Amino acid sequence: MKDFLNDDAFVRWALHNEQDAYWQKVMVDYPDKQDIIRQALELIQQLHNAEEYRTLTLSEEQNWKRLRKNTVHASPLALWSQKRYWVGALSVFIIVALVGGLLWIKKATDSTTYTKLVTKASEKSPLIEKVNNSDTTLKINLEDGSVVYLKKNSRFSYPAHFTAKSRETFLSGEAFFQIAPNPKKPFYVYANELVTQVLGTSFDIKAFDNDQRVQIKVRTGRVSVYKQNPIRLASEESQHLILLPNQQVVFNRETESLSKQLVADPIPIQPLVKGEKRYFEDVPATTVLQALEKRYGVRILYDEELLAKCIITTTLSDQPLTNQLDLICQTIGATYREMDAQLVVQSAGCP
Amino acid sequence: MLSTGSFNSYNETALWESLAKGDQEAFEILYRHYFKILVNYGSRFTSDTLLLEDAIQDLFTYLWRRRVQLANIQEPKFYLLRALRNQLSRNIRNDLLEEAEDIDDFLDYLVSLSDEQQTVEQETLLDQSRQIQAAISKLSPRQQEAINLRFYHGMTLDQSAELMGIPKQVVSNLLFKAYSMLRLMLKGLFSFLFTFVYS
Repeated sequence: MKDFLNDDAFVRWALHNEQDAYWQKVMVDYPDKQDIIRQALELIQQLHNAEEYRTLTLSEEQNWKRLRKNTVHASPLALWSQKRYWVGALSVFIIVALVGGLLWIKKATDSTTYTKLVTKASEKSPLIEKVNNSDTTLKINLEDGSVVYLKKNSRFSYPAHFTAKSRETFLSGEAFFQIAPNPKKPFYVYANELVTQVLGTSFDIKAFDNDQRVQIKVRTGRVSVYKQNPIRLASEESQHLILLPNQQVVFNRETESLSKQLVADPIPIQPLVKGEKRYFEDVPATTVLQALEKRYGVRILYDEELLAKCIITTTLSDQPLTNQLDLICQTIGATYREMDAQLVVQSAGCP
Repeated sequence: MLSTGSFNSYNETALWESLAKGDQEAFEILYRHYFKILVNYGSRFTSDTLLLEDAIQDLFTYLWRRRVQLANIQEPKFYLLRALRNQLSRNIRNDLLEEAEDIDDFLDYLVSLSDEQQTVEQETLLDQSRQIQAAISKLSPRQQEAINLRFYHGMTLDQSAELMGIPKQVVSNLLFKAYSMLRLMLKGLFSFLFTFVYS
């Protein structure tokens, strides 16, 4: 793990999702390193968050006013007399433009909706729009080989031809995406206030114009989600979340908050391979929990010493994780709850 | 992508070039982008908000005056962090004689008070970060700075070493010691995070 933490490129991936395709490939090529990689990622993000909360609170606005007085508005006296008029006019113009700009941006962000996004994007290049008003799912094949399954009452817009640098698409409603990998052209989905950036993976987005929530679920791979926010970019790094399989992000449009959770029904990230152990007889509960962690790619926290004394016999199935965990917890008299996209098992231990 | 006149890593070079030509808007955009980043790094060295505000003011005033020379600035984030560090150490040295010690203590006390209050109000998610934060604050100042530069600001090992004025190997050692100490302090809740630190 130390090697990863000391690797500059790895840290940049963890913090800014740089060179995502390369690291995704590392994860695939070295399956035995996956756990360590996830732990290193988690550690870096925890350290980043802790550092974020420690920052002193200073007012960006007040400091800007003070700075402006000392810099852009201060002119040497000799120049002042010649330039007075236009400096004055310029500053008024800047203030008007600034206030106007702020008002406009505020209005635009108050409800960033599909129509607005599409109108703006179609000025650059013509878009194709698919609307699904039927009860069945509409399959859309994109020119890059990606497939979009558009659910009912939803609309999806995309350019006839993607640009050389990126693949930008727009969604209102719900859809499942299977994205053809292409590290050189990241795939973006704009859905209400959220932008999902992805290089190659599958995931589900639910974002109806009149819905209070925007929801994104990851099936495979790794996606990065952030809020569209044209003015406050100072903390751009902290405003994005990285989602792993079986995690979802929900954006509450009223409180403008992003939260990371587990999906309601985590499914195995890899099917049981032949010969892999699925029947456990008289083993410590911790052994089974570790096996579950690995199969579903979901972090499970528990007190190792306490649970080591709980001996169980069980068979793993392909059922949702929660069913299996319910069963184990009932057997050993424990409970579990979800916390920050992780599961915490609580138990008084076994005699 | 859909907004113009804001900061992103693609147009940063253009922003510095515009600033060199005296573009006030570019100046504001750069200020707004780097403000929080600099406040974060500065918080490592002082809990005195006035001192930090002054240092940031001085730094940006200097940038505005010397803007012409900054057109071809390489690694601007690194440059700004280093400039802030120098500015702060100059200002702290100047203030050292005038500043009574008890004022610092009082400020620390205020900071800890509001910390406590917040802890009560925050939910579990923040608790977790706060525990790590508390653990980090028990590390030596140099270990803390190394963690901050690397995992908050995303500086490379080389850049961190240059900023801190020590050899790269020393930074690496500082970090390694920091991981072990964090591991000890956060044993209960976060043991899983550190299982493999030694592997």
